[in-house]
Amino acid sequence: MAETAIALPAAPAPARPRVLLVGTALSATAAFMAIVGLVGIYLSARADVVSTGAAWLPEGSNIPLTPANMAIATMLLSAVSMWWAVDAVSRNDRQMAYLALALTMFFGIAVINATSFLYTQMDLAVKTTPGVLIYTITGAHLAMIVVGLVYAAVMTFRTLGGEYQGRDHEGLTAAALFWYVTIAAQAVIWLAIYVTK
Amino acid sequence: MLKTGSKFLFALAGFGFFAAVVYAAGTSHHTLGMDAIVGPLTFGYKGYVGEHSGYTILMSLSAAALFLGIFLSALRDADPEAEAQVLGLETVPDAVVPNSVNYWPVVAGFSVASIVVGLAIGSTMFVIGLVGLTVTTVEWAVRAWSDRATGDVEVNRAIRNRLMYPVEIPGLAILGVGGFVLAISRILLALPKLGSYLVFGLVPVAIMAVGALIVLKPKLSQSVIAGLLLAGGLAILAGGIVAATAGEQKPKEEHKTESGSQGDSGLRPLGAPSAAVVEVGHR
Amino acid sequence: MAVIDTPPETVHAASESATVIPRAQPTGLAGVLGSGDHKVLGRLFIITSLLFGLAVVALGQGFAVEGLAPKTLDVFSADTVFQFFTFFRVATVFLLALPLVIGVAFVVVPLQVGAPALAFPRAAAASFWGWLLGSGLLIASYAMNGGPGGGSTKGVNLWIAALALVVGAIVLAAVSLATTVFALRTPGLTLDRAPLFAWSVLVASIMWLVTLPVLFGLLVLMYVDHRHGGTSFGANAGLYSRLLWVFRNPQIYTVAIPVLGFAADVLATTARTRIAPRFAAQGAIGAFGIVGFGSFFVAATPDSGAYDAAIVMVIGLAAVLPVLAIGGLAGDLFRRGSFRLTAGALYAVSSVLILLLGVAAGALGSLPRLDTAGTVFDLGVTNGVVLASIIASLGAVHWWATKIGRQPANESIGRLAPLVLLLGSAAVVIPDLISGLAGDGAETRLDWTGGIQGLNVIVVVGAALVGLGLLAAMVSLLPILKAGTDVEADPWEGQTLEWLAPSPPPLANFVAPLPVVMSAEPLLDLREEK
Repeated sequence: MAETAIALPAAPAPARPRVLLVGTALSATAAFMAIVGLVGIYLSARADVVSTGAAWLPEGSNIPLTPANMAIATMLLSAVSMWWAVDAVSRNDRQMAYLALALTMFFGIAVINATSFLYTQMDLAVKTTPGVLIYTITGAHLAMIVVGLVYAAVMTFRTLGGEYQGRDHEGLTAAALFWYVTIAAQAVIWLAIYVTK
Repeated sequence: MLKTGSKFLFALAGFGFFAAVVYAAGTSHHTLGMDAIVGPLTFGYKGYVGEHSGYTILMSLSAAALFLGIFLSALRDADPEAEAQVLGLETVPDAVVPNSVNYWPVVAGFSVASIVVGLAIGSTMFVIGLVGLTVTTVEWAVRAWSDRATGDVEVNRAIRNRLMYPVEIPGLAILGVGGFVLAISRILLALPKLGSYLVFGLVPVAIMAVGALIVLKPKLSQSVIAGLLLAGGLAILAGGIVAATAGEQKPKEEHKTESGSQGDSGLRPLGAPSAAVVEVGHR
Repeated sequence: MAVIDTPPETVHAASESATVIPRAQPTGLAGVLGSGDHKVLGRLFIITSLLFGLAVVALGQGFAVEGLAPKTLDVFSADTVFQFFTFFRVATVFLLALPLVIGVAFVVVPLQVGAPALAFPRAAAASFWGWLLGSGLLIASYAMNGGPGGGSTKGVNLWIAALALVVGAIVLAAVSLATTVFALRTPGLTLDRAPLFAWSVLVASIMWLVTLPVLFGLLVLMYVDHRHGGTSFGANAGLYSRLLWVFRNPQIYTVAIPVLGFAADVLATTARTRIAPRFAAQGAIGAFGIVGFGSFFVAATPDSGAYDAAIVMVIGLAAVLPVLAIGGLAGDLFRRGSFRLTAGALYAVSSVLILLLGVAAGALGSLPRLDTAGTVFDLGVTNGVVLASIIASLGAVHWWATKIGRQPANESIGRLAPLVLLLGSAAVVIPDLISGLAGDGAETRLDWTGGIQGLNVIVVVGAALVGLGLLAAMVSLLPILKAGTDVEADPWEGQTLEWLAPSPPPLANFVAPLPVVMSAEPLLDLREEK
């Protein structure tokens, strides 16, 4: 009986390090370029209209800054909570790691909520050029947030499954890296669209 | 010391920055002076920036390449020796060889394709694609985790199945039976009375026949199953497209010169490389 | 407690390992559909892109024939010609040139860096299936009367979304390739020792990663706009002009970056000597990649002065230098080494010559005084660069035939094909350049009546030769499909690691552990030691 009880399967071979990190950095860069490409088109279209002396936003439309400020502040907070999660896993403090990851996801969902609230406040039709651009850019960024959240959730699951811990926490670091780039993209959007308008 | 990969990325970053400044200054339609130089350097806060999209993209290229360059410098270009050091080993472990079949990439491909068809045609295909993509994400994540659970491929498979079968089997049953019943009910509603009697009688016979076939030949070739599933996936996509083409009640004809109203605030069409349509009929 | 730390079930399963019956690995269609093997995926990319390529070449031939007598010859009806034309341009890059390069890279790059697999092999598989289905939907959109200029709203929407899927799939493939070169190298193989083809694929992948997402974003924007009335992009007719930056220089150069790596690797091997100075070759490839960054034209208009900006001229002129540098290094190889006339070398020389023609024309076109923007001159530049990429990719399949396929390709037909392709490509490209310089055949004007008609006869001959060359190349590659016996692992006296792998390579590529790499030409070192 003792013999069968100790017949554990072989431990998995160590994974090749840095692969996930490098792949994530490259993917996040690609996603960032997609967003800033759109922001570039937005700024160009806006400059063309403003240079003729016309107003950029259609009459009656307005982009309130408060929800946008809330969103960027929440994203910045989530950067701290994500860093906290990575740090906790590297110290093998699993409870704190789960708490921090849950907080990050909460913050991410809060940003989605803030952006959708902003949509209700803007009174901007999609049919207009600013409408098409603003909804596309912010929508694309919401998609990036969702991807970041799913990535973080998957890595949480794998951490829960014992794959990542003190010495090897590459998966979680990779998810954090993607999240930080998402925050950088949010900062660009905040400055180009919400502040500049 | 900077390594080759990082050097390339820093060169790309430098190019992006230099090109952004020169491009912004060169397209600003102002006399080349301090303002034309200070503008690009201050992101347009002071002075002029010419063509905005190109400037933004070049500056972003610079930032993105700088980020990648610094990142890869920190990893020492992910050199094998640096990777081995991370693990505290003499030499770096080999990458895992994908020695088992995994159909989720194909499912992911079909799911995204279904979303694409749905985006163009209608919400049903979009929902099918989204469900497919969600299932794929979950299954893929579990598979990736279980593949590294132990060093034994078969034990990993057993662990995965133990975790997922309680979800997969009822889920598939609900989808299969539910979808079948829904489809048959639609057919019965569409048919005249006699036809519905016939279908009502034939369907159980067909189910019995398929059941008997499975009992008689329980081990169908995996290629046959894969082929059937592939044909099914293609049929769904083709069905969506055909439905869109045939189902258009009053297709909205577009005009080649259609454009938005000019001049109104926020309604001005974006500038294009060419205002006219490319005509190649008389090459 | 973590799931994996909870042993009872696991122990139970393990203790009954005798009852866990190993599954037989499926073969045939099931094996292909479920494969993550880089060689299988690469072959799939190569075969499917070549099949699309035949259609693209036939379409190009159709346009060339129509140019002979535009008033009387109607190969394409007036209603559909614009859709066929846009399909031709889009398919040339996204259904033929790029996937063909990716297919070759999928097979060769892991072997060159001594890796047993691609990084993220399942994502690489997803990229192939996504690309294939996206390409199918792109064609279906045209069949629905969609695409730029199409009359069906849904067809136009499908075209935009399908092209976005194709672009997304290519970006995914680029992530996999770049990560492989960065993070899966064998011990000792630092990036400055990486084979030049692998280096060029890394550079190309990074450039695709920073430029194609801009196109992806633009397509999303165009989709949203079109879905809501098309006020910002001029509805269906305005779509194509928004994408022109992808098909013109400098962006089109990113398709041809691997040409330089392929040529440098093949010519050094056929000359049986080391390329020197190596950093110059690497620098040239890197520089060619950098000057290929063209997505800053995404919203540029003639009024903005973007096309006349000094930086555009600098980029245009600078792009010639790396190609010349590789040409110079190749010349030095011929001088120092003992050159062998192989099909691979002929493909390499042909592709570099056509690329040089393309980039030299691009440099000429970037001079504002010549005012060639928007004429068939641009078409000539694009065709030159894309044809160079296709010739190099076909050459790569021929050169690495025993790694991609099962046995060597037919060498004598293989030597003929690049020469025919070289002649054909020159005949296709040069007349358009002359027409553009003469101010004839504006590509983006409603009253365009094509290039100079007399010269269009040469274009027809050139297109026919390109078709013949492609067919000859495909015929020369037929033997690689058949199983062979005792196929040589290293038929060319290679210098880099891929030639240590058996032919055809097994699943994990190498049968014995690789030695620690000490130079950029480890196999040459081994031979010299003997």
